[in-house]
Amino acid sequence: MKKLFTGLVLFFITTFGALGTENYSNKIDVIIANQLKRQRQEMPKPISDEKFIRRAYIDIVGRIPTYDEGQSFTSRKELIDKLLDSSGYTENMFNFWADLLRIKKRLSNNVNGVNYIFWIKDQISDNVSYDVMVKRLLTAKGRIWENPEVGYFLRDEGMLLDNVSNTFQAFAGMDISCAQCHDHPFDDWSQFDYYNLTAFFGPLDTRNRKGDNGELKRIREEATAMDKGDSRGTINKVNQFIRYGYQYGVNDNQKKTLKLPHDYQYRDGEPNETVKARTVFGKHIREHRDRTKLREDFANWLTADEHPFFAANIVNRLWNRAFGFPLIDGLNTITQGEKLVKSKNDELLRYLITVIKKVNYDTKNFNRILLNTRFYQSEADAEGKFRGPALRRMTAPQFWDSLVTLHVGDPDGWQPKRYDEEYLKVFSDLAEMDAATVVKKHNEYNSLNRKYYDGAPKLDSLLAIRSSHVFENSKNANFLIEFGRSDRELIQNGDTDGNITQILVLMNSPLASTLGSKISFAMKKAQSAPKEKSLEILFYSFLGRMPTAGEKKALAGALLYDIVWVLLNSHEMKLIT
Amino acid sequence: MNRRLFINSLATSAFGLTALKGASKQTNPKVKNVIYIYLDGGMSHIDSFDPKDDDEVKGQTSKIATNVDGIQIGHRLPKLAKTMDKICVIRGMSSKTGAHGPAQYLNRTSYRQIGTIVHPSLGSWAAHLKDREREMPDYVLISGSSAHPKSGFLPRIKSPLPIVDPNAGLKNVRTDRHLQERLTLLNSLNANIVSKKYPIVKEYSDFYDDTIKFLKSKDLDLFDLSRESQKKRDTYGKTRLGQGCLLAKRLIKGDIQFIEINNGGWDTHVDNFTKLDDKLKELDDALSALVTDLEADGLLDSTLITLTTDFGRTPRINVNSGRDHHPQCYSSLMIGGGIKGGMVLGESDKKAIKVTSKSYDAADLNCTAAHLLGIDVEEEHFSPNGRPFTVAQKGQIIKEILN
Repeated sequence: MKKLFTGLVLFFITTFGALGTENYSNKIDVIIANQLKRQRQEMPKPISDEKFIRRAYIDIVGRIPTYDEGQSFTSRKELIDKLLDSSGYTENMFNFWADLLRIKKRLSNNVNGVNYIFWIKDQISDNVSYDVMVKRLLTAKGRIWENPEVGYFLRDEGMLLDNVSNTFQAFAGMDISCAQCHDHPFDDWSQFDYYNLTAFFGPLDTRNRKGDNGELKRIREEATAMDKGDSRGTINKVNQFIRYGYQYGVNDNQKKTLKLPHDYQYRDGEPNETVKARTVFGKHIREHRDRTKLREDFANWLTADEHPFFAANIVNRLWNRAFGFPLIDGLNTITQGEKLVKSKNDELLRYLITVIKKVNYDTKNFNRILLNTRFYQSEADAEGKFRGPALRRMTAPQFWDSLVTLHVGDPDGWQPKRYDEEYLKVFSDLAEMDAATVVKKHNEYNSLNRKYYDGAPKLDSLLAIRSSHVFENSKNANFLIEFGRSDRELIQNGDTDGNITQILVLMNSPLASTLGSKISFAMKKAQSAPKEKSLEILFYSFLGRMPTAGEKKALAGALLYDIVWVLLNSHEMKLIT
Repeated sequence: MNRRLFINSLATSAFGLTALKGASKQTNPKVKNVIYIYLDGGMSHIDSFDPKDDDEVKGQTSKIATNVDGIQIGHRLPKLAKTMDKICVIRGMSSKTGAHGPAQYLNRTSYRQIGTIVHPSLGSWAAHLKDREREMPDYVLISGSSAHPKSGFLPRIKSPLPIVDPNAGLKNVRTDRHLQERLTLLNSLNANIVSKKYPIVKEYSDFYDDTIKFLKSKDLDLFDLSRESQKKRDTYGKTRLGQGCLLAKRLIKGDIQFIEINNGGWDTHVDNFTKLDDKLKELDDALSALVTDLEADGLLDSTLITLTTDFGRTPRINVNSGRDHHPQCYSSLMIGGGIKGGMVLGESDKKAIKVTSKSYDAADLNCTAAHLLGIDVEEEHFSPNGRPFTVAQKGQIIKEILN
């Protein structure tokens, strides 16, 4: 019976959801058309299928289409649905969340974030609603090996004030970081307000202070006894194992409180005074007896429908992601006091806020709505005047993943090795281990870590794998940072600016010659075709279009190898037109 | 509109009202160029520039005389001892930060590391505030570490040009022999989109033009150490730091404003003394050669050299014959234009634990360097989110060491 019921519900959701999608998209176009009319402007011209296919691939799955993918096009609506349900969508959206949540493999000293990364990808592929995901992050508990979502707090381990500031920036588009150290100079927030808000996380404890201490002591003593002479081999391994496995986690400690700084300078509080949790805008919530529930209270307050910025923030970010410009400038600062900053189209913003609530923060469906608008499927706007999606350079991950596609065909053919269960087994109950076992497990842990990249294809000295699979401090990561990907120290601080080193890479590094050699997917396909067709295949593979008559003539005598260099270095290759 | 103006206008529009304007108020500069040598890990002050007599503290380090009466340094630095008349040693350095990452960040930016903004490194501030309208990058980072704050909240174009290995020079500067033919084809392919005069296309066209100009320019040779004689390369020492200093010297000749050299291996928790036999020799060879060479070419008066590190190391020698982190007290150097040579500023107690004189910090060093470059160190600049910052936070100009 329960199954039948779920089935029915699913049926209704999919049927009416899809119906709704169209209406929402149409209404968005109407609102935009009205604004354009007031400005005595027409709706921008629709783009060709060719252009649409390339744009949809880049925006939805984060890479350009292959020649064959382009040829198998049926309809725009079908393509959007197909891409949204592919694994490429997960990888592409991961980059969005990773930039927002500043995700790294080394989340902080001694915290390995690999399972957190997979957890985020799971939320995307399971299409977990945005508000639910935020709640899961803000209320997470335990060790990272058991509950990877604690990575959210461990990212700022030992820096609670920074963490709270990032929470407001990421999920409410509010920059209250000034008030961390002093009353906000031109906004309404005082330092005391800041501490009131942070106090919701006062009981949060990210270090395992007591816990297994008895066991730790015993194992450490055994290890020291095993070390001969001056050697510290065993104890070092044991210490490292304990740090990675047991020392960090998230718990609520009823007795832990938040105090004002020792040099607090305002009249509304005394230095070192304990601060109680209290919301300072929106619905009023204050601290109650069970302090271990404070984080839940905060998460409910933040994600509630009446919160003034929660929906606006995500709408602004997703709009920016699809159209290349935000509705409210400054993604992390969309508020002024208790109000939203004026947007480029207030009616549209208000409507999108209703829509995201109506679809219950289903971000995939929201993206679908945006992608199905006429406005999305219009000629790009080079002037930044809200006359179409912005003409923009691909982001670093989009550009890299496109190169991977050119090189291997299907960039999602290789997936990293995942070992959630094995990790959990390695970091099992300390009471059942002696020092010798710990040393063995330490080695197991290291070997699991090393297996992550097993079997990854290569592109010169780099790995020919998706940017979403790449950890920081690798050659791949350096390439991405050089092309402007966020370093994930701050929220969404990537850019698409050019620089000389990028151009040097494209012109002179082995990249062009490798892509122009027979080991590369696109080149192989071009080489196996007759000459006239080869040029078409290469043009389509790089630029998503066929060569014009003029281009055919100009390139008639050129070697395919040189043509690849030319296409790679062309302006069109880098742009989403 | 030239490229730089264009980039600035982009930055201005992207950042809204609180535009980050370059080229601001200038004071009278004493130097044109800065070489900033950063020793990653924390150089032991006791074994280098602040040696002690105390038996428990000195370990396997003895004092040697220098060419300046009354100044003694560690015995592993004989060549620098002979150039001491050009050097100012600041023994009164002190910090509150004992972890590498935050200490390096503090040194490079003058600000404490926080999770909500990245502050610019001194080289980026200089490139930004003394916008010299050059095609070449005005800030080069040799052997830089990946955690470098780079341009922070300033436009990314103010980031340093990275040279990973000074021996290898700039990467990807060797062009294919068919470059000219390829460029002709490229121009024909680009012609259509270029004709539409999109700003973003113009930007990339300019970058290509700049890059091609750069690839053909003599400036490229500046990055090529193979153009130096073997003898000269040996004088600096065939080490990363040695060759890095020689590369810096070449770049100074090409008038690149700010050159930062990073050098690792100073975190001597284990076998401090044997490690320092190598590391301090590397430093001794490299820095003495650099100072002598700049002087010989008449460039020392217009160049400032700053040498600093994470923090000092513990006077107590640990069970592994190493020294651990010791932020309370350490030593830094300033050399060259505007700086008094043959001088020691500040002092530590007999065990090198604490600074007993007035103490100085990373921000003071940066403030002094910025001041010598002619930057107004008190002027406030606003980050894109409207927060006010100064070049060296609350650092003070160290007037005692200025000429």
